[in-house]
Amino acid sequence: MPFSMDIYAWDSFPIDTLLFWCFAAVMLISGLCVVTVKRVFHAGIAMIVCFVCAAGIYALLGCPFMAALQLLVYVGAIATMLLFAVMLTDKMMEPRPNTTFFQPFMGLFASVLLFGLLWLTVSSSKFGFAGWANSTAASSSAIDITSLSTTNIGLRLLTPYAVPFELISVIILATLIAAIALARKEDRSPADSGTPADAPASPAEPASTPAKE
Amino acid sequence: MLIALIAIYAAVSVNALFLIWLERKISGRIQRRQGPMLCGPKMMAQKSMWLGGWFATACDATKLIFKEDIIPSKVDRLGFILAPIVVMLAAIAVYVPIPWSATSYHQTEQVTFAFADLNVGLLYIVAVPSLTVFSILTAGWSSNNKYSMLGGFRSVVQMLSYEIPMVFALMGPIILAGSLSLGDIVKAQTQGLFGIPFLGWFIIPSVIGAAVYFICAIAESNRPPFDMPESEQELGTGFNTEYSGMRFAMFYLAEFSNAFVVSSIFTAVFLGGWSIPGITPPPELNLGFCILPYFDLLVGLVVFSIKAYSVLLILMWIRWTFVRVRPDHLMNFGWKFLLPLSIANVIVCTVIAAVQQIYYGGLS
Repeated sequence: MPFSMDIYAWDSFPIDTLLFWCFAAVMLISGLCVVTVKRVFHAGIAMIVCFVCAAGIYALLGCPFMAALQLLVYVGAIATMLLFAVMLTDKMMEPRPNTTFFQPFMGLFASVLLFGLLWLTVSSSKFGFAGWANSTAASSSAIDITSLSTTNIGLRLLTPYAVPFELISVIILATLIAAIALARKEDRSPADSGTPADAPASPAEPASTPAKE
Repeated sequence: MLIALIAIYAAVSVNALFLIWLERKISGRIQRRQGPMLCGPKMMAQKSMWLGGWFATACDATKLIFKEDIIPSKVDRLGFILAPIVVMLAAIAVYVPIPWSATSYHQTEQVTFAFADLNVGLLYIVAVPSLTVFSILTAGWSSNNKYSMLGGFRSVVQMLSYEIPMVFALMGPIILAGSLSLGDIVKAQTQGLFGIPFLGWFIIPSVIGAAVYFICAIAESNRPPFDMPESEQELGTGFNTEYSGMRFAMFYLAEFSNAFVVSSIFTAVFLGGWSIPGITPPPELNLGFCILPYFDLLVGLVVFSIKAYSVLLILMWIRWTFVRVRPDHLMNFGWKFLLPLSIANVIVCTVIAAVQQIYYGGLS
């Protein structure tokens, strides 16, 4: 491939390791910024930086599909929606008001609990890389990251995991309908006040937003 | 690699400048504006109708470069400085998977000429512009100005709504080609449909998808008639009111660069990219193109540019012909008309792909 600018062309220089540490460092710092920065909007920006770094790490792991989805869903939809909601709150240009005395302790408790849960999950699951010497044969049940190609993901989703996949789509559909029902205005004109509202539902902008997530 | 990166930046910027000139020229022709048609040395304008007016862009660029860089005192500095940079970054990052051409010279099979032919190229192209949404929102908010903020809001609502029919419209070609890679999608179009090589372009089986994608692409790149985020009559150019000098120029260049990217994607996905129907596809014929080294590459580049710039001219024609639509009309159109239409397109494409698969063998 003479035309692709392959970053692995430099054999001796471990640029992927370097990139990994860059992404990891920026991710940790921005993650810290999310909870420590005074202005909520800056926290939102830091969160988006964190998501972009996660996408970069997915790409380095050899799973560009996940990286693109991370960008599309988290940066494009969820974080932007979150910022959108944050902006609609009052006095956004001012720094955050002081928190109460107990809030740091509650936050600490919750984060320790979450960390313990994540630690248990990570330590109890086996991660295998195809590149590691003979580890694929030893751990056939392990999660093989190289099998996470787009084709494989599609095949897995539509053959062994077809039922959960369809169930998720049903849940999303239910959310969509619920959002439309909530956003629908019961605007009865005085002329037909006796009859139940048969005005056509007008899914305005608020109704459309949860569909994205 | 560094030189290549700088070359990409320079090419994107110069191309955007050229597009600004072209756009003004066309606006001058369509709406009879004197400046873009006549600005510059008098004899040039008299000699040819295409030579007059190129001074306008040069003056514009010079003005923007030398203008004072103003950061108003009440803005949120982080967001204000970050937003144009991210817009420009996203605009350039989208260029990565576009297949400009392909060559089989000294290769066993055709190799796509792209900065990187990602195997999730189409998904990447949909995903990266979401950074644009975020930065337009940031620009609007951090300007600390209610009109800018309204512009930012409108931008987010519009882009998120039109992203959905756009992705559905692109799903037709994905199903027909069986791949997310843009290089593979172009190659699938060279093989023809139902055994007829001239039906290869995906605009034929997914004509609805092409129309929906075209409309959504205009909305996604914030161009008129869908330029609610920066409608100058209501919002005073919306999210970029407070910007001046090069910071404003970045938004401006990114907009034109996005328009070019959109027409390139349309070319690659629906118009067969670098291929000429019936001529370039067969590899055995392709050997005939190797009179010169990389001759087929050059032909592909020329064909791709002709197609992409033609699509771009239609975009500009639309811009100077139609008036801006109302925000509520825009939302209704997107959700109630384009979305069902794009889903119907997915079904049509699935049927066509299945028929092709069963009766004429695999597509790719």
